[in-house]
Amino acid sequence: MRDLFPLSHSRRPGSDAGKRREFQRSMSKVAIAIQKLTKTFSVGKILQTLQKNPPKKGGTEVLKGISLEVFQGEALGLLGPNGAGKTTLLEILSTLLLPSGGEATICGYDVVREAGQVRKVVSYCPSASENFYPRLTGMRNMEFFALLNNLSPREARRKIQTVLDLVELEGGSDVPFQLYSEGMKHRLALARALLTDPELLLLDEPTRSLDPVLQGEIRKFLRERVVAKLGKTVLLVTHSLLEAEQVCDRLAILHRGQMVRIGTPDEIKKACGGEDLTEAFERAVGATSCQ
Amino acid sequence: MPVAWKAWAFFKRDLITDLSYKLSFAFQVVDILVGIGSFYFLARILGKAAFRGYEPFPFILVGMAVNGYMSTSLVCFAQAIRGNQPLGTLKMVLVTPTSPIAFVLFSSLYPFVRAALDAVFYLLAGTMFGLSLARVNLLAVLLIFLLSVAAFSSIGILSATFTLVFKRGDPFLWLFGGLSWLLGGVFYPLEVLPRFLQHAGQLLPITHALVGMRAALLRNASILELLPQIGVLGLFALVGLPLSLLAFHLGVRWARITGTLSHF
Repeated sequence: MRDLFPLSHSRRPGSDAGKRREFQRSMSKVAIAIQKLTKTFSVGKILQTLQKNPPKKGGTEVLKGISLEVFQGEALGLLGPNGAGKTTLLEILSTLLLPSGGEATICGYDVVREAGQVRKVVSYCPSASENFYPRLTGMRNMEFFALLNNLSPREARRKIQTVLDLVELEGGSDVPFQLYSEGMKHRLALARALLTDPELLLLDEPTRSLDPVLQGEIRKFLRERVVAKLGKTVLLVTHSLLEAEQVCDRLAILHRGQMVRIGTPDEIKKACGGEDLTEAFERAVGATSCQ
Repeated sequence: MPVAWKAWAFFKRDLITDLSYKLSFAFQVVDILVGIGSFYFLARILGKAAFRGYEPFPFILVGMAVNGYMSTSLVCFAQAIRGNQPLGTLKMVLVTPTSPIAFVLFSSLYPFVRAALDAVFYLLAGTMFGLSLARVNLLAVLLIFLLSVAAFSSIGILSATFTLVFKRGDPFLWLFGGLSWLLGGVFYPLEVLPRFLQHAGQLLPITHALVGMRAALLRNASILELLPQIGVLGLFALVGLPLSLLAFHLGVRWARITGTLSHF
């Protein structure tokens, strides 16, 4: 278990807490290691043969040889404009997509050759808050996914209760999912992601379309409970720079399939210039290049 | 044990979902009864000679029951894909330590149980219209049922693969579903067809399932007597199932490469 860090800038690198975390990171193990990862979406061979004039070029290159390391117990924010390749990267790490080239390992397991092992240590929480069976209650949905994650029914019931308590959703678990509010859906998705006590959480915009109060609650939950208390490694895709700053230790900025900047918020601000992270981000992905 | 729990999870999911549509159960019962009634009166105007020695009504009734579970076998695998894609649950299942093949096979459990119950209901309801079930070889019925489900499923899994890769316009469903009505002998004996169509009908698993099921249900045929049908259905299953599962495996891999797992 790790210490609880308050949601303030005192934990940022540069401060004592930040330096301590920097040191911890350098000593800790790598949870995600990505080497020259590429992904090209092309018209497949089956379709090519059916087409009269198949395209000569190889399709759309979404990831262009990115490399990245995420350390155990770290929260890394993945930022970038729409179409930068963030969700593609998350789907490769969750084994939903096969990369075109390069390598990616999670807790030492290769995402292609050892996909089965990867699925045991990773939880993926996609951006849409749906992804559940609408006519089943929250509890029944959780039971279904628990059994699919190799939990026995008894173990499943115990863990479901724990994670529902954790996300403060125990009261609504007997309501059909289709009657859930947006906030309840997001909480249930987070509860499902925590069900197997995974080493690594891949979160794709977990606060999208939520009101500011609930956004704040979920950020606090991620920072204080998931990262600080439970010690999970988190890869968080977000469009909110505030969220990235509040939840994450480091940020990685992806633009047109390339990693343009990785570092703490302060490091990124320093490298790209600008008054704040918004300006630094704009410079990182805009015409103005970083150092 | 996890495999059994997973199978149970899929079965329970589909049972609860089905039970949540309470009215549909009632309408289905009415639908079956109306269908049986129509065929009963139609059968009364047909002669006995043209039905291979069977009474026309039992002949058609068994045809409908077998056709019912064949239809389920053909569509349930593709429906498992199609139903989960728009919900986003297909992806969520595939990120768990559950293989795509387990997903598609376990998703068929409830539809098969429903189809078997429907078939039993067909026959029981048929007794209200004079169907006699006094000469049933239950063991042979079960064997023919299991083998024919396995044979039909190989086509159903190919259909699911097609759905995964091409999304719509499934030729397997059209080919086997449509041709089975025409050439399989569901409503009439194959002998009424031109000879070349009779030969074509022999290539369909339903033809053999129907011959076997009618003999086992209506005239107490022994397993030995049914060996030709058992052999053909077994061959269909033995060759078809591994091939269709391989095709499905490749289809999933294809969708993972092209990023089209959730496209529909």
